[in-house]
Amino acid sequence: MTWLGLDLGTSSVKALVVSDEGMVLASATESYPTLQPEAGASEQDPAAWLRATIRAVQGLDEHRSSIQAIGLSGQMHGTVCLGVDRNVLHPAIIWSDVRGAAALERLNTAIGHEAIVDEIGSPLATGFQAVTLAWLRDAKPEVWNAIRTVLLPKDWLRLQLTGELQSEPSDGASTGLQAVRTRDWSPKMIGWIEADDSWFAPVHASNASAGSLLPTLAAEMGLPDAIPVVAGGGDAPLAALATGIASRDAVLLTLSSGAQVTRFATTPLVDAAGRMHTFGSPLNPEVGEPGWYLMGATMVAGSALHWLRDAVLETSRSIPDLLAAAESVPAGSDGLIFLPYLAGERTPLMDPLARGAFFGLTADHTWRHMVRAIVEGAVFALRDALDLVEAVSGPAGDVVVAGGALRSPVWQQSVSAIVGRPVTPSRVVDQSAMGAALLAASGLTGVPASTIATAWAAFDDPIVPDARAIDRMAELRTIYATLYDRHREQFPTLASTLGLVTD
Amino acid sequence: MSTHTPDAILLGLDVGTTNVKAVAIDPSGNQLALASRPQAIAYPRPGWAEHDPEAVWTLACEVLRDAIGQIANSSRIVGIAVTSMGEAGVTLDRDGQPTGPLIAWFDRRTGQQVARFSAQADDRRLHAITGSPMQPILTAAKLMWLQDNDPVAWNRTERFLNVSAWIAHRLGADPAQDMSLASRTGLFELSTRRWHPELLAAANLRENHFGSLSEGGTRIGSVSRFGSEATGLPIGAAIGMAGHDHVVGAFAAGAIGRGDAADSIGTAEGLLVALDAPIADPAICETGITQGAHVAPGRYYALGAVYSAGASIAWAQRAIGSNRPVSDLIAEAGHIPAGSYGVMFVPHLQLAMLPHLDLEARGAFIGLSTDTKTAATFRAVLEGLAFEGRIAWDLIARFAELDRITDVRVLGGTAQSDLLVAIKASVANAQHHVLQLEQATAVGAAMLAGMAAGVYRDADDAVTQVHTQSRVIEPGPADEIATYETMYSTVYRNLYGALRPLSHSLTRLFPIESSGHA
Repeated sequence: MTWLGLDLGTSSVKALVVSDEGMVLASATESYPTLQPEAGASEQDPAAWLRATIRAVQGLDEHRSSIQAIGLSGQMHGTVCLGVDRNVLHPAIIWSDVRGAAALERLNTAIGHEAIVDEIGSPLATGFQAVTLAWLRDAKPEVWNAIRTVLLPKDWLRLQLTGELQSEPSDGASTGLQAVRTRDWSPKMIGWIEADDSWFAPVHASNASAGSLLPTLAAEMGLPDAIPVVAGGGDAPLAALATGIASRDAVLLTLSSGAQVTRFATTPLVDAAGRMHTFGSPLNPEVGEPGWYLMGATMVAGSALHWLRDAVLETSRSIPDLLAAAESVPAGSDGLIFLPYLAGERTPLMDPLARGAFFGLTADHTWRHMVRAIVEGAVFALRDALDLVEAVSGPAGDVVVAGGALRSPVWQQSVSAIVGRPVTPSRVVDQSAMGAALLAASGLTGVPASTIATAWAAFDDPIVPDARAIDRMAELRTIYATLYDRHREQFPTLASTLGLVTD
Repeated sequence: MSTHTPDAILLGLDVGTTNVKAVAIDPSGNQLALASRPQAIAYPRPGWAEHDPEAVWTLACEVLRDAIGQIANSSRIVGIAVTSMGEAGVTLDRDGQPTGPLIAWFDRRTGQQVARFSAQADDRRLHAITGSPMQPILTAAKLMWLQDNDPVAWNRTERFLNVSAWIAHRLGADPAQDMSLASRTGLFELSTRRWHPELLAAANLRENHFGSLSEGGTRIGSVSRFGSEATGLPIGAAIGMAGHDHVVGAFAAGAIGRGDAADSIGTAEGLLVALDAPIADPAICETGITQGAHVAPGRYYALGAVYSAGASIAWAQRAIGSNRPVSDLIAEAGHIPAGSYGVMFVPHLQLAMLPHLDLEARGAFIGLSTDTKTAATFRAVLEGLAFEGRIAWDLIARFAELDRITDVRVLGGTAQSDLLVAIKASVANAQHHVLQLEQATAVGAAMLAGMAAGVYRDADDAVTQVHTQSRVIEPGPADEIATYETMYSTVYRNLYGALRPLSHSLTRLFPIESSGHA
């Protein structure tokens, strides 16, 4: 028996065939473009998702024949509007679309930021379905008036695969239209944006069967007839689930272009200040699994190294090369501190005007110091997010880390020293698609998804920090923490006062 | 106007830390000869730096012979004066032979002596009397070091002469002490232009340990037969009193009248304003501004410094500019609008001298965003230097009760640094005049020689007669000036204070490596 995980990501769809033991047997990826018809827009053609999905599955060749069930993972937050015949009314408006900025401000003012956080477990942001719909209502009334159904990207894809309309909590929460406590649609939020309850598909468990693959598509994809398709989940919680943290009281640190802190919770613990998300999880509280997950996100991690390389150093060296060169710089970067707020900051500062800084420069500092300082600064920011998550949910028993960056000793040393505890690297790759596959397995076998995740998860040996490095980084972190405050006192109004906006 | 012949030739000798240079000029300042040799320096221990006195003399003679050899009729040489680096000189025995090392001006070996001197002469009081704070490089501390560490040599020592006065003495002049270098001893009272008896006593020194105090341009003697044979100077040529090299450079730039400003841009940068009288407000001692006696007789100067000026540009070239040519980096920075999209740079890469002397200060880039590119960071470095310079102008203008600085003479400017000067012009909202005066210090010495020889009536006459070409760089358009004014007054001016406690915490964790010298 094998399972097919389909991960409908932001730039491509990945199809992954996974064995009963959690081994990846085959994978294929097909990409699709993001369209920008006007400033701030990020749109995709749903039909392109379906075509790419069919091609990706076809790319799995002989591994297709043994597949028992399909699970879905999807890019979160986005909006597909359907008309009376379930026809697509408008290209999908995905999470990175920022045209709703003014609508967001209006919602926050009209409803109140605190009331929103209390209801949905998270602040709203541009690109959330709730904000996109509020924007559409004013900007494109002809679309708004024709809407009969609104779906998340993966729920639209499942509709094509099965003909069934369904939703589930882990992706549904990311619309900003589900109530965090009920893990179901929020009449309040739907009322606040003046949408109609009937537009939203019924919520099922994430591992529940949501119909079976239509014969025409099964034939085209080369899959067995009528295999079940389970509801699936949002790509972020499924990635966290696949690392196996749900059943081991662990917190997950994910390093990518930004960084995330994720932890599962058995109750809807919400940060009232809205400095992170608390969303429904893809697990089933009815069988004792944690029904929620907390996520704090920092804006910048690996992307700051790309910034340094491409924009500042203007070098053609690879990021691993830069990191290797920074290995000669001791922990603490000889007193150079980087504030990583190049694009403002989310958790825990929630300050879109924050800016980055290099502080502590001396004549002896080189670009190698800057590379190491960027890594350390990004991890300082991540530690702030971790502290908030633990403040809300209690100390975690274990810290698991994920992300390709961890191949670098500089990242490994920095994460362990700044977190101040041993950290355990996850060996699971293609985590979101893996999470989708394990939901499929759970749905068909009845074994809880968190149990399967534990069985499938694999870890490297923990990275144990050096005691002196912990002390040193703790000392630096106190300076880092004050630096943001000082920086904010001196800087905040400058950009707006002077209109200092980059071309 | 001068009563003297226009075919007189004046020599200036500049004994610096890295080079010894001689120029010959005519009374209008046209350069007739130039010679230069690299100076030797030894670092016998960490923090120590010395020159060999006899080697310095030999080098001075070689450079003078070289320059004089370039002149058709050396008998037209009517005067010479010698300028030299700050707190450096030679202790001499009764026969005029050196008794100890020629300790370089930036040598910091005197920790114990400074502590002892401080115990007797409170830092704030010393600053108020002499114009400079207590620091290990002061001449008094160096002489105390010799007293402590080589009492035998000290017992043989009759007199201390700064390098410039010592070379002049060997050429035939009387033992003399100019007032600009006296201002760097820690012993000289600015308001009276006299040695301060209590400070002398605190350092176990007497007035007659020094040459006779002389104003710049005073004739302190004539070239002797020995001096002539060693250098080719005509016997009997006037020897003038010059002094501290950067003050002599400002003199050549014409910065002698109250409010005249000169900005000397090098690895480090000196921002000097000439004054009629020293600033008396003791609060000046809380700033990084120092004061001294000018080489223009009876005048004074106030000085702000940027320790890492050219050094910041060179650092940025290495650290963020991937070692591309500075001219390319500056050309690209020129396409970035004023304000560098909000990126700002604090140039305290080694220490801060403004708004306070702070050895534990650190540099910073702030306001970075994903959109920040190399050119903007590089422009931010130039803007940071301009903001730092503006602090000096503002402090000096406020304490000296000047209206703001409206004209700045720029020394050390090259076409390559035009963007820096243009940014400075907008940040200070002051016209900047880039002087074509590459050998300013040596030319200034030659002008002081001309005063001693009677070629010029006085300092004003010398400055009037010497014609220096300059390029004028005007402040930019009003919106650019306004942008810089906002950045300076709302952010930059407050940055040092905001970052100071953090810098100090950081420096305690990561002591800054002392690279020894400027």
